[in-house]
Parts: sequence; C-alpha cells; structure tokens
Amino acid sequence: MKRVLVYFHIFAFSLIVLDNFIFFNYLKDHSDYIKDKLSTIEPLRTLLGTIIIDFDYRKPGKKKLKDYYVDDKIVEIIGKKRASQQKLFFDHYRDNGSILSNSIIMADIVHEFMEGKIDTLFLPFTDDVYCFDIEETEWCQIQSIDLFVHPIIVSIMRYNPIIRLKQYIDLKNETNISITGSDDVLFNLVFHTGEEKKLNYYLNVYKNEVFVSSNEQ
Amino acid sequence: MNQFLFILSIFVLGLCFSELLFPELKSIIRYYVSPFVGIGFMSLAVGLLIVIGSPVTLQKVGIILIGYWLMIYFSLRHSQCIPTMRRGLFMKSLNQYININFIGVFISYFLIVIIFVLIGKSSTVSDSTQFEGIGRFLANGGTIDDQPPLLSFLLNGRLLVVGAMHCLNRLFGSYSLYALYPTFHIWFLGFIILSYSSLRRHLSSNNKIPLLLLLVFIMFSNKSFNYQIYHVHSNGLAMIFCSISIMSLYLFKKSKNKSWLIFGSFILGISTLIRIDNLIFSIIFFSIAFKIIYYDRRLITTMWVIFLIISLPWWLFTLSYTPLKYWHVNAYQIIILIAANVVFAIVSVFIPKYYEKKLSNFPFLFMIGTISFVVVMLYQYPQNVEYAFRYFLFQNLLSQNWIFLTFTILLMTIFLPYVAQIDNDIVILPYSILLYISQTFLIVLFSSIIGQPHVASRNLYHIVPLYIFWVFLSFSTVIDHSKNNI
Repeated sequence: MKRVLVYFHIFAFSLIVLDNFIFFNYLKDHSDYIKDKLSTIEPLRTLLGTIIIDFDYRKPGKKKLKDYYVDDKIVEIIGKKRASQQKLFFDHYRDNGSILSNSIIMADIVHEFMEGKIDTLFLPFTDDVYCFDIEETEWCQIQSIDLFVHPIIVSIMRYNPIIRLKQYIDLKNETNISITGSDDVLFNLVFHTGEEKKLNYYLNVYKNEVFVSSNEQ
Repeated sequence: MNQFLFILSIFVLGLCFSELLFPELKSIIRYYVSPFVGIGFMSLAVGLLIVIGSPVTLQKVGIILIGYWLMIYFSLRHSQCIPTMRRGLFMKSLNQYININFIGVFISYFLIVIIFVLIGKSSTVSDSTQFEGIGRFLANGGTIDDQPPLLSFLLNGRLLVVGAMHCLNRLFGSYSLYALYPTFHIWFLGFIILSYSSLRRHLSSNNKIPLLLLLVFIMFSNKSFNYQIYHVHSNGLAMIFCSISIMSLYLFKKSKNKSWLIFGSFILGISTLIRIDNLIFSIIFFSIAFKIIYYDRRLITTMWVIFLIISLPWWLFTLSYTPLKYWHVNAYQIIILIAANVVFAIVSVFIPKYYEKKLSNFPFLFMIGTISFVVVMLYQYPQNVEYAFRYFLFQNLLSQNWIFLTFTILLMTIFLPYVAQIDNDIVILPYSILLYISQTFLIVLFSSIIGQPHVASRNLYHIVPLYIFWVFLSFSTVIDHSKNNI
C-alpha cells in the first residue's frame, strides 16, 4: 500500500506541475485552436464547450501605446523624483486594458498638478450610468474620480463637453501639460493665470483629446 | 525609497508586536512573521481613525500604535487571561534581539523589498483603481463625513487592510503601492518553506532538499499563486492570511505550542479585515480548532476573544453604513455573517462538558449541515441549485482554471484515510480545503437565489497554497514512514 501511495503522490505532483502559469497562458492563448482541433472528435465536442472557457476579461488585441514622456514642465512642477514615480503609476494603469483607466489617470493628473487651482471640477455625466462615451473617449465608474481628487469637489452637470475646431486650437495653444492616457487619449491641462483664488474647471473633449480648463465652452 | 521605507516599517512594527504577543514562538519564527503582524496592526490603527472620523496622518497612526502596544503590554502584565503570554518575556536586552536569526531574517526581507521596489512591476485591473482610490482619498484627508460616492461598497469591498496600505504608502510620500504585493507573496513562500522544513526536519537531506526545491518551484509556478504576485487586489493577501491561519492549527498539533493558536486567531482576524467573505472562512477555522482543542475551554475562549476583538468592531461599524438592499454586500448579509460567528463562539465556549467530545467533530457536522441545506434548497429552488451546480462544476472546478487541481484533490481525498493512519493531524488541511470549496458553492447558490453577483472563481484561489502544502506534507509523511518500515 505504501508503494501505491508513493506512486500516487508522484502522479499528483505531475498533475499539479501542469497547473503552472506557462502552460495555462498557452492554453488561454490557443483555446480556440485547441477547441477546434479537439472538437473534431465527436464525444469530446460537448465536453470541451464547457471545460475550456475563455475567461479573459481584458480587452482583446492590446495596442502599442504612445510613449509617455516626462517633459521639463512636469519635472518643474512636481520634481524629477515624483515625475518618475508618476510615470511608473501610468505604466501600471495605462496598458492594463481596464475601462476605468482614463477616469483615474485624468483624476490623478488633476490632483497632482492642479490641486491648489480648482474649487469644483465639473464633469458632463450623469451619476446613474456606469460608462460614457464622448467622441473618441470612454469614461467609466466616474465615482473613482472623487476619491483621487479629494479635497477638490466633483460636480456632475449636464453640459455639452464637445468643442469645435477653433476652440480646440485655442485651448491647445493655452495647454500647460499634455499626458497620454489609455487608448491613445491625450489629456491636456490648461492652468488659469493671474488670479490666486481657486476656480471652477470643466472637462471638454475634441476627438481623442481631453481638456481640463477653467473655460466653460 | 519612500515605498521601501513604508514596507520596511511594516516589518519593524510587526516585530515590536510579535515580541509582545507571541514570546513562546521560536525566535526565528517570531521575526519571520513580523510583517504579517505589522500589516495587521497598521490596518487596525487606520481603521480606528476611520471609525472616529478623523483624517489619517502618520503622526496619529504612530500615536495609536504606541497606544495599542502599551494597552497590550499593561493588560498582559496585570492579567493572566491569555495563557501563552507570560509577562516579562519580552523584556530582553537589545543584545538578545540582535542575533544571527534576526539579522538573517531582516536582511532577507530588506533585499526582497528593495528588489521589488526597483523592479517596479505591477498587474492592475479595474478593481485596483478603487483600492488605490480609497487609499488616496484617506491620505488626502478624506473621512466618512465627506460621504464619498459608493461609500458602503468602499467600506465593505475595498477596506480595511488593502485600502489602508495604499493610504499609508501615500502618507510615506510614495506615489502608488505596488511592491507590497510581491514582497508579501515571496515572504509567504518563505513561511511555507520554513514551516515545511521544521515539520520535516528529521527527513534526510537527500529527500528534504529536493522536496523543498520542488515545493518552491510548484508553488511559484502555480498559476493561481503566480497570478496574485503582482496583482493589486485583496485576493492575494486573503490567500496568504487564510493559509497561514490554517497552517497554524497544524503547526500547533505538531509542536503543542499554544502560541500557534493565538497567532492563528490573530491572523484569521486580520484576514476578515482583508475581505468580508473571510467571515465564512473563520467558521471553518474555528470548527477545526474546536475539534483539536475541545478539551481546553480557556484556550478556545482566548482564541475567540482575539478574533472577535480584531474583526467585530470594524464590521459592526461598516454595518451602520450599509443599506438593507444593495448591489454589493448588503446589511442582511453582514448581520448573518456576524451572527454566525458570534453564535458559534457562544456555542463553542459554553457547550456543556458532557457534549463537548460528542460534538467536537464540527467539520463533519458542518459538512453534513451544508449538504442538508443544499438538499432543502434543491426542493425550494431547483433551478438555482442546478445553475449553481453547473456553474461551479463546469466554469470552476472542471474548467481550465481548476481541472488539474480538482482531479488531484479528489484523488488525495480518496487516499486520505491511508495517509491519516500515519499522521492523523494532516486531516486539518483537507478539512479546511473541502469545507472551503463547499462554502464557496453555497456562495454561488445564495447569489443565484438573490440575483447578486459573486466572485467564487477568485475566492477559490485562496486555498491553493494550502492544497499544495497538504500534498507535500502527505508525500513526505508517506516516504518517511515507508523508509522507517523498510
């Protein structure tokens, strides 16, 4: 019996070894191919339909992202060390395929660069919908923005956030900092000048470019 | 650098508390478990500030931690209620602390932290943004009074431990937390090796070293464990804390050192602050604990007291912010989980002596109860049971995620009676694994009946390290015994 137990454990080990991430990733990446091949065997067809499932929740076909760069303006405002830490944060969240990435990247840069400038950040959404599409940008679980920008007040307000070409050119010329988010969305921060007091800021969109500025368009 | 200092401070803080609380554990173990203890107390300090509605700052956290330490110190000095804690044991000279074990453990931790801080790797999903978000909210001075959106969800689903760690990381001046997760996973792997090595110290080097290497390889490469290493979420830490608590029961049985049970209860309490669904796991833990120490009522009481002091205040607090009907955890569910734990505590502490041995096999009763419940549900909600069964079987246990493990768990369970003849204590591990799988099935069933989403497939990750540990212990038990018999 002891010998049987030893052999049985060795068998168990060999099965557990198969439960490794390399083999699993191979199975996941080739699940359709494997299904196709094996489903030609009639008795396996029904079984395979349930056993090999594709549970990958990330967006298919990752695109190569535009490079994020630390320019002099960013370093000037938050320092070299913090800028490199921020870049790492973007690296972690920009290419993870999450539909929430752009909401929190926008919130992160607003907090980091504009905390002392904004009283209320107005967002053109409604709070009962999980995701919004504006032009070529997608915004999901906007409630997370509140958490990242606190103590800046976030207010949901119905207004048209889409700007025309002329407004886009004007805002682009006034832009202080531009940072690439997820899905090639470009965030532009426009700081108001002259006044010391905090102002209300608005989110506007032109195609895949987002502007956070004090001008309500 | 700031993140490095933060993760290092978890070790140092944990060391201060583990010296106080677990003096009878071997010094190397006491040093080694310090990060697990440290993360617990740091979270409890942040939790207190959240409860009293005060903004979280490092100064306040520091003062609260000193307060906790002094409170425990003086209550231990003036009370004998915790049998394994002897006063004065922790009043050693500095020279006694600075020994080879301490230096070895500290340098190992130091190097692991620095490596993962420098690697800068992280795996994030949508949920990660909320853990980071609640941490930043607290670090920016946010309190419950600010009424952040989705408050109930944040309290029950993103706090306490993981959110608190993200908060403290920001307060230490670091940008976003990533190195804590791989550090703790690798440290936990070390804990498994240390435990296995000490449990199988009499094995010959010829057997022991290859087995240890194989254990490291299998654990590290296992997809469920490997996936969690860089993952910014609560499942990885829940897996670590659940596994350690059950391993503590086995380590107690083998060493007869009651400190393991005290430590296990503490770690279990912290695990419930990582994820609320661990309040189900706590019942599994205590049902097994009762089976092995039903005769020592004082120790059972102590374990429950430690667990409830850590876990109960936070969940009673979140209950007051949780609506009766909600898309995430609702108030009814929290009440049921708290009530189940409190009732079980009362039963196991006050059960008449006459019945204690007869009823000591709680794990068996638990399993019978689960099966009976499913049978009743089958009569009441046949479609839901069928759905839960199909989902659990075909999309979890027989899916590509679990099929190898399911098959071997089945075989290991069939052969368990033979291995248990050699080492009966080993049943602690399969009991916890099988009960956990059955309770996860119940979660799926409940969710199906009330039409709520569930995370059963992610929860199943929690027991994978325990399972691998069980297979290795079982194998070494068999080969060691075979050798002795030959």
